Amino acid sequence: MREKAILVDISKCIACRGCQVACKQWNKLSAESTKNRGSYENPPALSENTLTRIIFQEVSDGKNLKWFFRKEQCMHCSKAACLELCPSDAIYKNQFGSIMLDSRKCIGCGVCEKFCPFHIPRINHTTHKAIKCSLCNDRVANGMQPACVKTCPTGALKFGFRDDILSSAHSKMNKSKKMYLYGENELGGLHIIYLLTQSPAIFNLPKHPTIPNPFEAYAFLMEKLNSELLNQNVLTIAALKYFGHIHA
Amino acid sequence: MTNHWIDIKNSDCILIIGSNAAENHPISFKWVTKAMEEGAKLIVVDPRFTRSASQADIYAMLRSGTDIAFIGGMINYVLQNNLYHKEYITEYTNASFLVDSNFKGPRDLDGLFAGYDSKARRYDKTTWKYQNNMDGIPIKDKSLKNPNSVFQLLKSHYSSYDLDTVCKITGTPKDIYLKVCKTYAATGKIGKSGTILYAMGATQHTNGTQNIRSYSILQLLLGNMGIAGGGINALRGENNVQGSTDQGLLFHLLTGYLKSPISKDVSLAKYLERVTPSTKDPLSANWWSNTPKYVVSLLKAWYGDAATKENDFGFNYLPKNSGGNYSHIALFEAMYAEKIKGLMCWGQNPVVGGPNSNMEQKALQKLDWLVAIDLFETETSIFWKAPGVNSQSIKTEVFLLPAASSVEKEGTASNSGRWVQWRYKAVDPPGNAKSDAEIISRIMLKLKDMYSNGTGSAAEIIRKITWPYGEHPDMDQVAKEINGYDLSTGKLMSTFAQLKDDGSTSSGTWIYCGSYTEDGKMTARRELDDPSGIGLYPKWSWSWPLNRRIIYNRASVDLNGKPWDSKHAVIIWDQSNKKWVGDVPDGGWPPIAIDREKTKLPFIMQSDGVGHLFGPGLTDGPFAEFYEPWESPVKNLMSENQNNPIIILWKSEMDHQGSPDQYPIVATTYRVTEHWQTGGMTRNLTWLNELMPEMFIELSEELAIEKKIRGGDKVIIESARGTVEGVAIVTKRFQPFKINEKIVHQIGLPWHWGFAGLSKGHIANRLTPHVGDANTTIPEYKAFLCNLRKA
Amino acid sequence: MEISRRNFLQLSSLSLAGATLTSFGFDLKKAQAYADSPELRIRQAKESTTICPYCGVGCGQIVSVENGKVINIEGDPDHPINQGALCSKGSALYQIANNDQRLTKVLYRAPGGDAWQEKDWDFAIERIAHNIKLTRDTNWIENEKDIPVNRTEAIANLGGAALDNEECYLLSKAMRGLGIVFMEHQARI
Repeated sequence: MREKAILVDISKCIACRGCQVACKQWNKLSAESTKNRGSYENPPALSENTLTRIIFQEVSDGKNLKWFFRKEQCMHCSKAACLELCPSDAIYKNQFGSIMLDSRKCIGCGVCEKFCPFHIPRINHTTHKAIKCSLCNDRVANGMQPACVKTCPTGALKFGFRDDILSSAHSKMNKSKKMYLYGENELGGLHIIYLLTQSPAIFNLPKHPTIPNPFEAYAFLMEKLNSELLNQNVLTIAALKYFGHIHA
Repeated sequence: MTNHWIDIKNSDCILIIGSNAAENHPISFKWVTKAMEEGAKLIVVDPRFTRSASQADIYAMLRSGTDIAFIGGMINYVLQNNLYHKEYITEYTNASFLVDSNFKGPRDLDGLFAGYDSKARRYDKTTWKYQNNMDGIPIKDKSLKNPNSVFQLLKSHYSSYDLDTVCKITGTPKDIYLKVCKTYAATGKIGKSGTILYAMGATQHTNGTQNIRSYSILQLLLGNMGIAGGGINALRGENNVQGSTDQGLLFHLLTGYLKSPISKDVSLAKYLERVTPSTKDPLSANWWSNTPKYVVSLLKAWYGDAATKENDFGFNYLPKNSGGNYSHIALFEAMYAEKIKGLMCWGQNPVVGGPNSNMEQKALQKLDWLVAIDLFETETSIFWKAPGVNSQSIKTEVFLLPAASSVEKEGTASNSGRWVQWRYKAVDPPGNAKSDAEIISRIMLKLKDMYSNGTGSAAEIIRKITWPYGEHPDMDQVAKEINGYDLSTGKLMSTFAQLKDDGSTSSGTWIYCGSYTEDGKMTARRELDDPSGIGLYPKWSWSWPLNRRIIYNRASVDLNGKPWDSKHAVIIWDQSNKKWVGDVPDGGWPPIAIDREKTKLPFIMQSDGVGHLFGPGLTDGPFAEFYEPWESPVKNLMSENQNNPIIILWKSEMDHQGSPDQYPIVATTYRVTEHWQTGGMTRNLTWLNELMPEMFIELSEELAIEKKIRGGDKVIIESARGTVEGVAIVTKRFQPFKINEKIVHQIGLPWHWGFAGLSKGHIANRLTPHVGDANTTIPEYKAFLCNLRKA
Repeated sequence: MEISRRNFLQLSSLSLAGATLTSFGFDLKKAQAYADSPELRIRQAKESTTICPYCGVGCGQIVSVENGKVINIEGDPDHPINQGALCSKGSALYQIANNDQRLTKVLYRAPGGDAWQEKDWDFAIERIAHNIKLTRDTNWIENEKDIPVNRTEAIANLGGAALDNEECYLLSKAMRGLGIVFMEHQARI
């Protein structure tokens, strides 16, 4: 199966934030109570009710002002830290290469939230389950585009086969020398591919995202075990998984 | 819009001035982006760096209210550098027409035009006219060299808008300004197009109409009118504000832009004589000469069998106003003066949206009764429980009627591009809510009943108006009445070209004639054919007039009927079949060079058939002259006349003008993507409140340092009329202006908030003045003076 | 007109002149290819088209309805202007159709009152018509310099930009029929 991906072309985003609302509308997510923090940006971070958002950034070199808008959501990494580290095997990859979360299996331990190199998944504090963007699996499986892509007016978001997306990104890069590509190779290749107008560091994207050391995740779980009602079995499964006995 | 949304993609250069399309019309950027992908340049001119500016090739800052200087300088640049489209202006505009030799302009008269009466604050326009020959036809000099020609007068008028002067007024850096001039003027080349996208940032000024006039002059000079990717495009802020104007909901207009009768119109004939323009030029189609047909067809639609030739088709049943000003500001001044006793308010919310809203809120308290019809509680409907108001002292009887939303009823809405599109009903309205149509009809039926036995004209005119709709009006029936009938056959009319002035046809709104014919409901069409290849989609819905998608399209071709731009042909003359192919042409007459007898000039809605570089129709001058906004921190550099000399000055005890020593900072109001107008339909939506939760005020880092304000602080803005509090957004997107060597700060604030709804906040219009444009009386929301401090 | 999905698909495929992409880019054959695909939550819904009520762009939207309730609103991909796209406001329209804050009853505030009272339509229509008639009759200007002018300057009418054309037309006709000249709307401001 050819994998699918979203191309996020920063140069075309006007921050209308149709994507933010379309995501809530389709996925039936509640609004958050927010404050104006001296910026247009809101909510201030992803959350159990916000699976994608636009980050606003004003950048000036003293003469030219730029106002950047970057969409943030699950990157659907090929080598996904959440999938690798989930102690209850609640995270899997579907036929499109999207990283999926099976909430029936999720135990709400918080490993994915803590160790995602992009800090994407969140624990819903009512259901005690992790939640993140599924790349609108239900829509995609039925031949539709993800809600965010469908609603994007300018073509800042495009959805398609990952190889097609990459080649269209490369052809745009060839036309404009000032663009940067992010997501082609990071973590085995992301399924959110960014075309950036400045270097990834300007957008706070890690230069070399990695899967954290399993020891750290193990220590995190140990701590959780002491403070919360995590099953001892979970720790055992995690140990086996993290240290190679299952995943080998 | 003379053009339409999709047509933006055909443009070579998009000039966004007085609008913020990315934020207020985000889907327009689908087409702006398409154009840019094809190599178009985007220029954004705005006092602040907006989300539109974030996409621009060139962003130019200008101080609020200085558009005439800004565009005036561009016009001057085009003229001085011979970058205009010579053939276009010679053949299709009044450039070659000779003007009365006694006409004088602002350079001769220190900022005034000939004929100013300082006591009456108006112009006597006797000399604002052409020199005619013996046959009454304007004399032309196609060499454009005669000093009395429009072209030479234009050149001399705009020569004083030189680079230095303009930039001293606007505060735009000179290098950027020159880049704007150069880039946009390049569209004067044959085959190139430039479009101007404007909105309320252009119109809401005491010089608003002249701002638009400036755009028209520039576009005509560059040959950008009538072509694909060109035009003067007003981006409409409300879903059907185009349609509501088409349907005659302003005091001075009946349906289809027919003028309202006034008290001196003693008869239908006298009225028609006043409102029907005439020409002696056989080359001018002068389309408005058909006015009598449209007026009589309207009267037949409204008064039916009671409209007869003998009674002037019921002309005297129509109310005649005094000839004075009944516009929004005048209306609230009259209410404040207790002349208006009752108000009906359909989905409008002046307590938030009206200028000097403290005054407008106070005026509501003087009403005997108020009927508000809306989806949600609005500030206007609960003015009697506004913060700080003692409701017991307010004697107004208030009704708030629950209305149906767009998905709970059916009917059409007209978008900015004049596309009239049918909406279907999806669900019933909640609870006891009803559509506005049902509410209007029930009130009218009750009144007809109450007046059924009455005597006198008040009763008679209500009895005479036809009202066959019942309590549940059928929207198809109404749409057909708007379209009109051949009354002898009972068949629906298919074009307004067949309307008659003898009472044998009806048409409620003549420009909609053709929208609902014997072939069906054109507004519901969904066919996606685009034979033009330029995005006309002639079988998708229907566009007025006559499904024409680009107005004045006969100016898109040369004298032989060949498109100036063959890649984006709007229409082409097919000589073998002797007809136009492409968009619905502005009349089927052959091109000028093909048949000089039968041809007609392309600007058919002007009595002289040509585009107006010299525009004698306006009240405040045939060319645009720069004056400072009513409240301004600086002296007018162009003349001793500080403000537009003919604006109406209102003088109630709640109308105050602020002085720059007390209020040194320029302020402007605007909207954001995430909210809409006065907020009723967005501040009750939690998803949108999440994105834009609070009233805010934007200011530069420099001003923030001066006032010791940090982002996120609460700040208070004060004008001569009120105070407003909001959260500070300190941003590089606002920069101080250098105006004639003086630093001028400008701030901005959205006007979406109020004290009703889920997200509450201060009302920006507490600050704005009751002063309006010289031609339209649209309030000057976009440039006024204030001061600010940390709360 | 409410149209079933089947009708709608026919309608839109007609309009695409034989193209296989349909209303949502929804292709049944493709959908069946994924045996484990989750059920689309609007699969059983009735769909109708509408035009977004916010700005003047006039974007097309598709409204999905189940059991008399709007369950989804998104951009109409066949619409040539927006081609399925919507901004944040257009994407939020669902919350207009499903909103606790909506007015559902006639509300009345008596002179000097400090709260709304709930009333029925008959009361409101009767009372409003009575007020119009009283104000109009007391402030009727039949002639000015012996010329019939048939107007009242004591009643004003505001609004219309949020109404449909047919409603605006009825309003225009009704207000002229009443002799009202203080008639304005959002286009002026």
